[in-house]
Amino acid sequence: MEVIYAAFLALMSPDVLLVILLSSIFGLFVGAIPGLTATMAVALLVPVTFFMPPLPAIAAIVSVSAMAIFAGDIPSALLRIPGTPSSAAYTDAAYRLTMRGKGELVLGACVVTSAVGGLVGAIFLMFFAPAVARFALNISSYEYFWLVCLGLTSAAFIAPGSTLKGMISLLLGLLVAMIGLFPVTGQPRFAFGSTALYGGVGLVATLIGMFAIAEILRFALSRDPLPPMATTKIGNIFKGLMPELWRSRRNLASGIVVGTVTGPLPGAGADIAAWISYALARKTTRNREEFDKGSLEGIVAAGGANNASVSTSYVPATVLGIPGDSMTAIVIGVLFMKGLTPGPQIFENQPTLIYGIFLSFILANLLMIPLGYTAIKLSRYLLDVPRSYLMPVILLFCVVGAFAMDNTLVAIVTMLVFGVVGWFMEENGFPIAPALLGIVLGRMLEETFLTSMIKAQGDFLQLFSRPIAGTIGVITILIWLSPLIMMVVKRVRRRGAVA
Amino acid sequence: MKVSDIIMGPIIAGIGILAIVAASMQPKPFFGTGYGGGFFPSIIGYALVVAGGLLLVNGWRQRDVQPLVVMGSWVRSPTHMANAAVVLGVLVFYILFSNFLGFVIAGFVVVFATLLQFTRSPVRSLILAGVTTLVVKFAFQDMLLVPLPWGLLEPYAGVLSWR
Repeated sequence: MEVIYAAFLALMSPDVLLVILLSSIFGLFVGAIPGLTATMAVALLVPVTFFMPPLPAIAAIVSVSAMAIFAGDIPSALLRIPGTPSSAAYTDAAYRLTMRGKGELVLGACVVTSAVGGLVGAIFLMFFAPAVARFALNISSYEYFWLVCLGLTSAAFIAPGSTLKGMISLLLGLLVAMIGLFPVTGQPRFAFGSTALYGGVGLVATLIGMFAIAEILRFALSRDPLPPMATTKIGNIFKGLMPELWRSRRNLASGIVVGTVTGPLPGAGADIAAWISYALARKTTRNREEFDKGSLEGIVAAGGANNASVSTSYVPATVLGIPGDSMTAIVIGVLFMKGLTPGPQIFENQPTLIYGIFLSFILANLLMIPLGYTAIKLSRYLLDVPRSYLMPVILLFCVVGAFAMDNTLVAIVTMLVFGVVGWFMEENGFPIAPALLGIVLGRMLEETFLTSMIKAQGDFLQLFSRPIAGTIGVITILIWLSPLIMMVVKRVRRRGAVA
Repeated sequence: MKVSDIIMGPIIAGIGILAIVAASMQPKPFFGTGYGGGFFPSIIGYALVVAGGLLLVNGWRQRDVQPLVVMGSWVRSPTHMANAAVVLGVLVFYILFSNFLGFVIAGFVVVFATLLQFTRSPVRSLILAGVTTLVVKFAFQDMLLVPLPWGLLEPYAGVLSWR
């Protein structure tokens, strides 16, 4: 309790509060504008957080991610365009209800369920993460190696679209992570004689390239005009909301459970939590016809789920240093930049910081109600901001942001290259998130493997010698083999059917 | 721009082969485990070759329905092609000339050229580019102490700084 009190005091200092407030407003702004994603908001914020102490830096990222995920609901309901991918599951339903004159109710439900979902997730994170950390203190490089493998594998397999393309994206990310000095002997590897690449490819420049420059390029080439807003007048969003929410309380509860459980799973982010809980709400609804026409049940379930998963996705990130999605990958990168190694030891070495991060989730989700309300009220102006004016301004922020990390033009070259690569990958159905996770975790994968091999004197089977390592190892290998197994099962069934 | 898997497969496999060749040039380990700097990259290389091969097979199966290259609708619009060219062009311009011109001038050019291309409004572009450059300069150079290049404005650095 003393630690929590100290963390609370640290969080309540005026400069940290100001950072949280400003980054929340930034998150709401970016999340509400279609085409600018929550990950882009975080990527643009990282260069600024570099100049802050660790607590406000991570609290800023926490606030931005929570607010942006909620704010994505605003254009969903008003324009039928999800502001962030995690709102996509219920965009149709939200827009249909808005067209039927229930825009206020939908937006009210979105802000309240997001805040409630985020809060429950944050409380789960506070109580569950230390327990996992205590358990994680006993795990060795063998378990770490398999955990990283499992995380990367899940990221590639769960990513939207083709599994094969997810795997290729992951492999390309891992290949990029190999650039730099080889950790054991310190010899340069794939640096092409450039000393600038000895430290590896800059993570922040890569991030800004893949998530911001790629988006600017997409905007530059896009010929689709924005649709007109469904309603321009938004009254009291809380009017009549509570009875409606009470009616959908089971959906909200199941959504929050789905989000809370999905968050820590490697590879499954807020988007997947929203889709699963929306599908679950559809399956359990009493009136499927009404549900498909657009009902609050699905919106309530998925709205709570995506914010709950944002909170709990910090469990593996802080406890094991293994990110589950692109946003927590960035958080891990920021912790490393601050000289902090995420892992179970962080709970012993930096308890105030870690509980400060957890408390910042609670604060951000509490702030979501008043700030979200204001954002909804201002949505007419927010959604009217012309992207043709916004994108060039963001472009300059990208340039300076990438440069600020290493003070070298190589970072801007990296940003440009990865911007084009990111745009090309998305155009061709290669998901970006596995590549990013590969870049962040590639080094850890190699280092845990080499440490294990040194300990085991090169005996590969030793990786299965401990019960947990062996179990995770077998699960990971089964996931790798699953496409093959599925193919064999299909063939056998087909033969059975023919016979 | 959607490229068929028939083309993407060999490209991915080619990257894999390059990785294997580059990994083989890594020095052999002289102590410890026998796993050197080339071990992981070569595994990734082999995996990319296999994945590229599978992608090629997928593409071949869908060859009747999937054209080799499908360009986006932007290809028929000179404005949109110019949009992308300007975005890429200003970034290359900044990389090449920012040290000589300095951030203030090069940054202004980046925003102004892109704004002008996107909005076709010279006056607004001029004002917004000026304001953006000054805000970014103040935030990053004066507040966060990022050493943005002064370039041609070096003699006026003292006057132009708020610190």
